[in-house]
Amino acid sequence: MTQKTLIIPIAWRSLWRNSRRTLITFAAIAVGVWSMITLAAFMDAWVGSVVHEATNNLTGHGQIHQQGYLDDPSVEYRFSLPPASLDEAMESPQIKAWNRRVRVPGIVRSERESAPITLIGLDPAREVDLSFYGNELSSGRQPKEGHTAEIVLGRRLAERLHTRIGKRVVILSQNSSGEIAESGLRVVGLFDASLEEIELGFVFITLQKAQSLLDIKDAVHEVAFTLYNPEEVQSEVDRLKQVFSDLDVSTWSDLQPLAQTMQEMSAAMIGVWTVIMFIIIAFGMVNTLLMAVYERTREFGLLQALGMKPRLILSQVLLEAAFMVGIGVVVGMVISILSIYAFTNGLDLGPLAAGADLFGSGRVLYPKLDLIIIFAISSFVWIMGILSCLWPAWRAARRVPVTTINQSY
Amino acid sequence: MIFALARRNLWRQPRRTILSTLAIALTTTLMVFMLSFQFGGYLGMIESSMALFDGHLQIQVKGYKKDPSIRKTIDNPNNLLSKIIQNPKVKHAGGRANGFGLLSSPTRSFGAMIIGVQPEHEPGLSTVPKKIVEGRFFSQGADNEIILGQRLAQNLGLKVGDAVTLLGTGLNGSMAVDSLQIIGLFKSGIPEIDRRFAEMPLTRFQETFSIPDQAHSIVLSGASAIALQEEKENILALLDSDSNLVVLDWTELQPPILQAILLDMSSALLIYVVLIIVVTFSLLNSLLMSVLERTREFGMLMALGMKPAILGKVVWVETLMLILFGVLTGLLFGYAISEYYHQTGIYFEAMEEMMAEFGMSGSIYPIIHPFTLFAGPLFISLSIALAGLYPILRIRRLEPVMAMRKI
Amino acid sequence: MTTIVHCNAATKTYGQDEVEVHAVQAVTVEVTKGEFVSLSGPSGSGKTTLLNLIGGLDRPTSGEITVDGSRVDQMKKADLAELRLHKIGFVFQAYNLIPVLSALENIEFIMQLQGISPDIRRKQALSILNEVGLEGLGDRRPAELSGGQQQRVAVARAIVSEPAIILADEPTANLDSATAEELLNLMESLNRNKQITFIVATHDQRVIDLTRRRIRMVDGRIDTDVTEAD
Repeated sequence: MTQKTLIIPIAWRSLWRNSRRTLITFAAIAVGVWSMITLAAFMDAWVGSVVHEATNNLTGHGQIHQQGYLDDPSVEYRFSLPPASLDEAMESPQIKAWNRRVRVPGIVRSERESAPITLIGLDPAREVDLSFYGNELSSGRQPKEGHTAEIVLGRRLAERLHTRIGKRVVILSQNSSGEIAESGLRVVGLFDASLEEIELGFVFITLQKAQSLLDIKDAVHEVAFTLYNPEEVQSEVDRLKQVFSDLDVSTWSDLQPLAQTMQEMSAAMIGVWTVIMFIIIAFGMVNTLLMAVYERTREFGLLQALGMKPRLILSQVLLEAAFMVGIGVVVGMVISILSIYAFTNGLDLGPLAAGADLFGSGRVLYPKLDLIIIFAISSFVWIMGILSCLWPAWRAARRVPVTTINQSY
Repeated sequence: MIFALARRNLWRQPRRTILSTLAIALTTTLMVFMLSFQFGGYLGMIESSMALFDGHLQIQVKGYKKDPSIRKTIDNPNNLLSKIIQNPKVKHAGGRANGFGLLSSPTRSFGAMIIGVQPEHEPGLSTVPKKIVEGRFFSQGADNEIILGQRLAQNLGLKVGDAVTLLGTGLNGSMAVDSLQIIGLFKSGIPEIDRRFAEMPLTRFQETFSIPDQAHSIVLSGASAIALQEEKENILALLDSDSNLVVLDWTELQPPILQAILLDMSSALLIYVVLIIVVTFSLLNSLLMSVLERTREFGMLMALGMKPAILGKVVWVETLMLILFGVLTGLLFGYAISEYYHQTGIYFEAMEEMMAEFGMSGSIYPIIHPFTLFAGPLFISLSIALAGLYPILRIRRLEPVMAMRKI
Repeated sequence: MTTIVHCNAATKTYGQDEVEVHAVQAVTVEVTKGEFVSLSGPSGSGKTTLLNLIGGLDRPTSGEITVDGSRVDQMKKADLAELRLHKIGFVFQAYNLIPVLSALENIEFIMQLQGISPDIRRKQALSILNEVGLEGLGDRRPAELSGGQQQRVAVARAIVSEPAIILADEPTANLDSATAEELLNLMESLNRNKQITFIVATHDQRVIDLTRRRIRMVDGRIDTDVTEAD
């Protein structure tokens, strides 16, 4: 056996010489690693939810508008394309779903109340996989195709207007010639949305009805799309910019900078937390190993007297650290994977949902196992843990044999 | 004797003691700072989200908050105002009415929330008068004037001095039609508000919307939203007992803010618990070791007639001293850092946009409060002190002869 | 003559059922006040165990042990601590002093535990320190004292509370012969002048030669028990 392989069993057995101490160290490391990984998973789930809310609420992964519409979302900033050219551009293998929308500010008025709203004209069938509006309505049905005088409201808006399915409401909005266009419509459906402002602020009619109401022929204000892989949004937007050079093509992060900020903030928080936790663990770890080294001073002296090189002693102590931290990290990894797994059906924020709303997330968070993050955190703790044990290891190795053997307790 | 022994024992292993103290101090510093930052953030969030329109407390007709119908009015608001202002905690009070209307320029029309305000009271209740970026706020006795959100004016294609037509629904479905002159534009920084809000004098609002001498809410302001929240009952007592008026505090005016705070608190609580658990485990080893390595010495002391209970006390005092060192150091640093940032504020460039969503500027000012200062140190001390009992339990089981045989 | 220690058929057995080790077997012995007893014998003969039984550090498996009128074998742990504190002084081979306390504080320590007032104990400790020949060294920590000096402090600490008996376990084992002799002379003079009873477990012949009563143990039993006539 070479000296190098010799130190492996020595290091391993030394670890178990004081099993209680070793177990406590494991526990500290494991809890720390668990908190790092679990926090990362939940932050990730939260960001995921924020992004999902941001994109699912009609934004999609990207949108096309007339230049100027985003600053002043009114009827004038519309665009009209030959259907064939739009179809051609949007029939990309990357694009999962897309839809054309008329989208203008307006007012809805019931018999008793009125409220400011955003009037949206679209084909509901094409919203599947694009936005929440592709889901089934919570009650009633979608307007019949064509120029039907039918409308879908948010449930809470209907309550506020004291109206219900079957009743009539009046929509007012400015048409293409600057006059107030007015139209009486029958409420045929109600939708639920996760964000209150959407439920209160959006009403839906058919695309044709909207176009005729506003007198804009076949023009629209917005084309929204989702991708199979959201990561590729930038390249897809770049491609569309080439095709529609005079239009404004934006990604969801341009449209919802808040979600973008939250994503960055959460990444920063995971980093800060990992470092803080690590420092606190390191204090305990270094302390423990210093003690383990201190109480074995005589033994290290003996090993050196027997001809073991200081460097090998250093390696032995570092190896001990590697075992100690390694097992703690693995235990922490296992617990965190289990605890993330326990929440695969989602963590329901329940009564605090409106608060979650303010942070832009939905009411249910779905933590996911991200192996890359788990691996990154684990290896960070492991490597930094071993490095922080250099000090005790160095102390063990530099002892002079004679003085240590004679040292009495 | 116990103290002298404990103190000297601590300095037998200065390195270990320093490392342990540092771990406690670091955790304490973190917790003190995080708590003061967190609560500073909450206060900032509450104040700034209330500052624009809500004030610190509001009196409304029961049910108006949930269903803000134009019919739910308070009669003779000025009479009520004179009563309420008697409460010493109330600094300002004013009546408001809220309505909705279509604002039109010759070329454009937009729906907007129209707020009727009392020019003499409004500057003490809302930050809108301070956020005028062009023109001016209403002066006393203002009549056919209106102030628009900057974005709204832009979208309407109107400037200060132009006329705007208001078309809305007054009481009982009556038509509310008026022509008003734009005298000022405000910019709150929140796009939704700058695009959708307008203010006009309350008296003119009452005429236009056919609610003579009525208002929808009485807005109060004091030292802070929290301060007036505590005054809620007293203010309720000032109202006629048979009226159907209610007093709403910030939690009722902005429930999402409260929920956001609770949500943030519960996640922060989890983080603090983990922090304390980890630092406790981290220290438990040191505490345990300092007992185990002295087993022989303890055996000798017991042979000399020292009772295990007293020995336990010595070790307990050692632990407490260690905690005290660490916690005091941490408290000092945590306080210093919080105090420093309390003065200067912490500016988050990246978060400015997000904070604007809560109506906040880009800076957070940590606050210093007995709770933020002492909650962290208290729980850290408790947790470590509890962990410190474990090694002491081991001392109680020690037998002198066995102990002295140990190395 | 007062009996200080009385052992009646004291037996101490270690280990379980099959592999029993009889460390002390049916030892009956009596020590009276003012005696200077050496307890000798080869390693494993049971002398330390007997000493521990007398000192109440260990309990006999069977038999009776009486120290200054108290039945040590029947006492509770807390009472034993009390007994050791007031009636028994200990001097060990090593690890004798509290490392964080100075020589003087080590001597005072027992009195502190007994609850004696600071003035009295300081005065008493200083006078005893002089008595054992360590004048002026009171402020030193154990690590700053030689082995012989440390043992003197240990003796000083043992006699300061005026115990009925002092039990010493190999007190000279770590000392060179000159220092050992000084320590022995100190113990001898304390015995002669102050009538302090000593039981010393040892296999140091010089110690045995010095004592008047020599008990020799073999395999946990008393082999010989000789008292030298004055």
